[in-house]
Amino acid sequence: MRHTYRIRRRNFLTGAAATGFAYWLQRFEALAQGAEPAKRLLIMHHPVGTVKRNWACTGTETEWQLSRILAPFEPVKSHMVVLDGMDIVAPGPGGGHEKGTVVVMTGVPTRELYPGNGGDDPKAAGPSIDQRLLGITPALQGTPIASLQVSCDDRVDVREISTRRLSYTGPAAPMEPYLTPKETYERVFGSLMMGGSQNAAALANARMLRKSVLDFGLSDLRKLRTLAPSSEHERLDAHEEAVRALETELDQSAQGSGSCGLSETPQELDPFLDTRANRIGNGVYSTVDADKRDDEIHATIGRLHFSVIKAAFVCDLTRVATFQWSPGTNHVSFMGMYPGEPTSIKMHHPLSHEFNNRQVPEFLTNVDTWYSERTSEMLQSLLDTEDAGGGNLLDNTVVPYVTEVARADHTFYDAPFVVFGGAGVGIQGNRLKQYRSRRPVNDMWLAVGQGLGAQGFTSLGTRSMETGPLDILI
Amino acid sequence: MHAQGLSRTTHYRLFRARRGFPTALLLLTPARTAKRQPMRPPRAIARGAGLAVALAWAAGCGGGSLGGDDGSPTTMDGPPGVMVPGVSGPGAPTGGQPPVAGDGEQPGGLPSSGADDPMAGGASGPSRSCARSLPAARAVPFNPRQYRQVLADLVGYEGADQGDLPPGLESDLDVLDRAWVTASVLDRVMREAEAAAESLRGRTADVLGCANLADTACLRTGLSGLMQRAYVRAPEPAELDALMELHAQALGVLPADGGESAALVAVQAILAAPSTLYRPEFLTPAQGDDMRVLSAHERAAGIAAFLLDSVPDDELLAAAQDGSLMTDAGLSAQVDRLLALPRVRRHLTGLVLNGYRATRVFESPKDEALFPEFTASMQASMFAESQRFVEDVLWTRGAPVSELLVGGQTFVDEALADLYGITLPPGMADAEGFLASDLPDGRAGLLTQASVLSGLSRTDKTSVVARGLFVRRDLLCLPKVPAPPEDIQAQVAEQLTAEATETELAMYRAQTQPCSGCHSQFDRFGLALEGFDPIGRTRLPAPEPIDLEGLRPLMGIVERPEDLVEVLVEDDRFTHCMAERLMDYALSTAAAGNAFCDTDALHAAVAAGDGTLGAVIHAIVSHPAFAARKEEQP
Repeated sequence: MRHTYRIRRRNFLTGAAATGFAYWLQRFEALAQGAEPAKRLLIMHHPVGTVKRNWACTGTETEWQLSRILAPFEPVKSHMVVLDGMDIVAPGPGGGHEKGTVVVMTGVPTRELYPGNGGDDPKAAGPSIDQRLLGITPALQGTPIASLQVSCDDRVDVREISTRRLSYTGPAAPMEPYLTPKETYERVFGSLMMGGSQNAAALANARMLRKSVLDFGLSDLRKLRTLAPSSEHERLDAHEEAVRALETELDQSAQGSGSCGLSETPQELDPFLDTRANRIGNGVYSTVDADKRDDEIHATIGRLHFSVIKAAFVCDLTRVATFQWSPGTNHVSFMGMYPGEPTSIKMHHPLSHEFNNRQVPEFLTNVDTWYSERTSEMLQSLLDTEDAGGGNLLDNTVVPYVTEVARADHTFYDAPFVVFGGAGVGIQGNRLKQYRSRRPVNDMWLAVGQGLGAQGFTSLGTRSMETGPLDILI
Repeated sequence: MHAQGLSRTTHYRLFRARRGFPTALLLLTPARTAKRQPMRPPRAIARGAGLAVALAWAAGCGGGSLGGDDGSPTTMDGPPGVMVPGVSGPGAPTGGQPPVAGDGEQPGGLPSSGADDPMAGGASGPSRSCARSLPAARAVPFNPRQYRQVLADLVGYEGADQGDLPPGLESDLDVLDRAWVTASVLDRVMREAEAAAESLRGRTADVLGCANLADTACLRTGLSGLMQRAYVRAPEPAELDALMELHAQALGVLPADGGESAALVAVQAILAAPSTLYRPEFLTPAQGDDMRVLSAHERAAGIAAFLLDSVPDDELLAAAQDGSLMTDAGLSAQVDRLLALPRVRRHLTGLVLNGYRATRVFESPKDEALFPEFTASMQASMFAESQRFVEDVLWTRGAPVSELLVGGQTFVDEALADLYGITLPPGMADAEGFLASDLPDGRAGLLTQASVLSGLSRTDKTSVVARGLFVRRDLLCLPKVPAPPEDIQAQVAEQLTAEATETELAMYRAQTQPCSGCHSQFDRFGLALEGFDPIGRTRLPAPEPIDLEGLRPLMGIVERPEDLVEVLVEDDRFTHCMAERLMDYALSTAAAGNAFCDTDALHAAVAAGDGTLGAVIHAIVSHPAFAARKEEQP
């Protein structure tokens, strides 16, 4: 185990110059005194399960070959554990993609539905695993931004919540993800404030005033809380927590991203919002055949979102992030994925339900492979980036690559999961784990938590949904 | 294996002879081996759908009874009242992709049924299960659409994103649960508040009523006025002191621009303050042990959120301040005034159009090969018809809301006239090509308009389920039926791809457990509309009559769509349902445990009026649930 100080002086100086000095000085001192390098959790979600026969890898645990869908991960195979034989155990109400998303991310059964929203939109019955681990894992705590949530597409059939949120602070308390890379950038690196101040002193003043604005709101909030019935306290407390989170960021967060490896502000892109006038591409929601492809901009949005997350990791501005490619009811239209039709444009999720169409499995395979390719590029960039605390970023980041259903027919058994990561987070890479007797997905979370050093994390609370941590740790 | 040594084909023939089953469906249907054994959906046998699960599902629908009091189980003998056996397939186009229950992705993104209510009540019959008659006092946050409107009303901000939300169209009677303010939400609010404040630059003095922004006494007064509008109450001195401290702090570090930048910081603080973001219902001390009456300001805030989609305007706020809003006459006068405002009418029209699915026409693509007429222009015409129709009923004529279902007149352009088979007199249309016209036989009101029917259809065929659920849930407010259990979702999806007409599939469900338990409660409504194709054209053969037996309090034989809508409006059922939906919207009582349930009193208040939307809204805002909150016991 290497926990020695390895940060380079030049990196520190440039980083410190560009970012909040106080925070960097603390980090520098801590690392110099032999503190453990940062550990990180990045949960990445891809939609609509997979086509198992094209996803399953072959070989033994240590001598194995990547499958067609997972082949793009070859460059990061050394940090990859394929989990073959996982079940999404999903008791409670909710639709396929809807409940799957909530249950995978919370690890507890759903209990009730949102009214409306399509009638199958379940509320989360507890916090999501990223927030849960954040709360009990010292190695994930202490950064300016406690956690970051991004999504690359927000379109759904009905205005449901469950498929569009990965993170929850508590029961039925979803955390809204940033939909545009520019928003993500602004959250992490700050763009301040009245009149677009440019110089350092003005920025510092603007930062101070924004904090004062938050403080003003906080006193108002506290007054409301004293008058509110106790049933409203949880909601108002969550608001206060949000105020504190933003205040912490203003105290310490970076002002420039260049030294964190992000030289330019992400370009303006049309967000994929669930509003009538701002739909991109096809003009309609759920349709198999589309007039306009949007896979390219989808990839761009993903890449830019990720560039901000990576920069935040580089400068240790956050250690917890969730990245969602799209809701499970994916409306992204892909060109050239349908067999034999290189110019046809097909929307992912609607076509996935043409069970009688023999070309659909091939289409789904192509799309899932497309996601593997883009995700792999991101993970490669973590692998190629030195971590201030030693090793590379992927060594010290655990990346569960999850989905919300096993297959397009909404079944939950034998679902495809992969975990990426390195020694810093306890992951023994280059492994094919084949669980013939099948394991619930919560066993993956238990192992992830142990690898991160989560305290007292021996159960997610529902015994019927877990058997014990997977054997994927060093 | 087949019982009694009969071949599979023989079973099919016997079954067909006994049931008059359509041939197309017959070819998909395996024989059953015992009288009370469930007949599994096609292709379900290999997957082995569990009987226990199936029975549990049926039980969840109350054994097929609409009101929970019929008690007629739906076995292989079929549910009561379905009169369609023997109907030949109407030849609807088949193929293409069906939606799959469980995603809420019925045609055009139609919601599927949910599983949150036990069976209780009937159409306009008994009240919902009513654990408590008043909602609890809450902090109700503005949703993102409303917050933008709040910013527009308070400081005239017309943000760039405003275009995302065409007025009214994104309003929806189906209220989402109250949002939580997490870090990313607050981050967005801070940015929007900042942008809104910054938009005042150059006119800050005018808006705050201070020619000299360096005059802190005047500024305090101006900010106090803004605060009062935003908070919907008079600010306390301590709150103003804190605001002025913030202003002084800003004044010390921001450029010397006559105090404008510092004033804008104070404006931003007001716009992003929790008292602006939330509509609290607990500022008035409780009166008695179990309830608190909302103050005049809280009442004003509730009315504004309901009708203005924002904070109160000056007149409403004044009525709260002088107390007149707490009198029947004062309340009535304010509601009447608001209902005359164009923006309120637009908002309510949008709620109706969205709540009754007219807007779905834009989200319900059709197979171009089958329906080349369903162009973007045609969709716009369909929506325009509904919009004009709703405006005419609600505002131009001020007719009872039941006219929305039974109205015999509509507005068509040439394209729609062709679709409906109407001959338009030449030269009579308005500038946009529309003309008021009587509907042909077989049509009446929104339910038979092309926008609604298209939105309740699949890409290539109609949807008995979607149309039936729409009638049951959105027009009658009957309790939701549970979605098919996940164990049979895949089988359901496979069945939906079967080469069968909607009528045949409905027949199959009617004859099959566990399907019939729930489908008997809404499929019949959809079958009555099978005379309209996926884009709302009349088609032949006309659907067979349906018998409403087992759907009490509905009863009788429905032969034509006009008969169906007459049943729906009978005994004010539709009006009561609309009142309930609007009440839920007005109260933002999305959380199931906090749902409004005192429907009897609301129905009585509605019945006392003239049946117009105005009367319904008067009944809502006068209802105790709108004016009081249940006091939480420690």
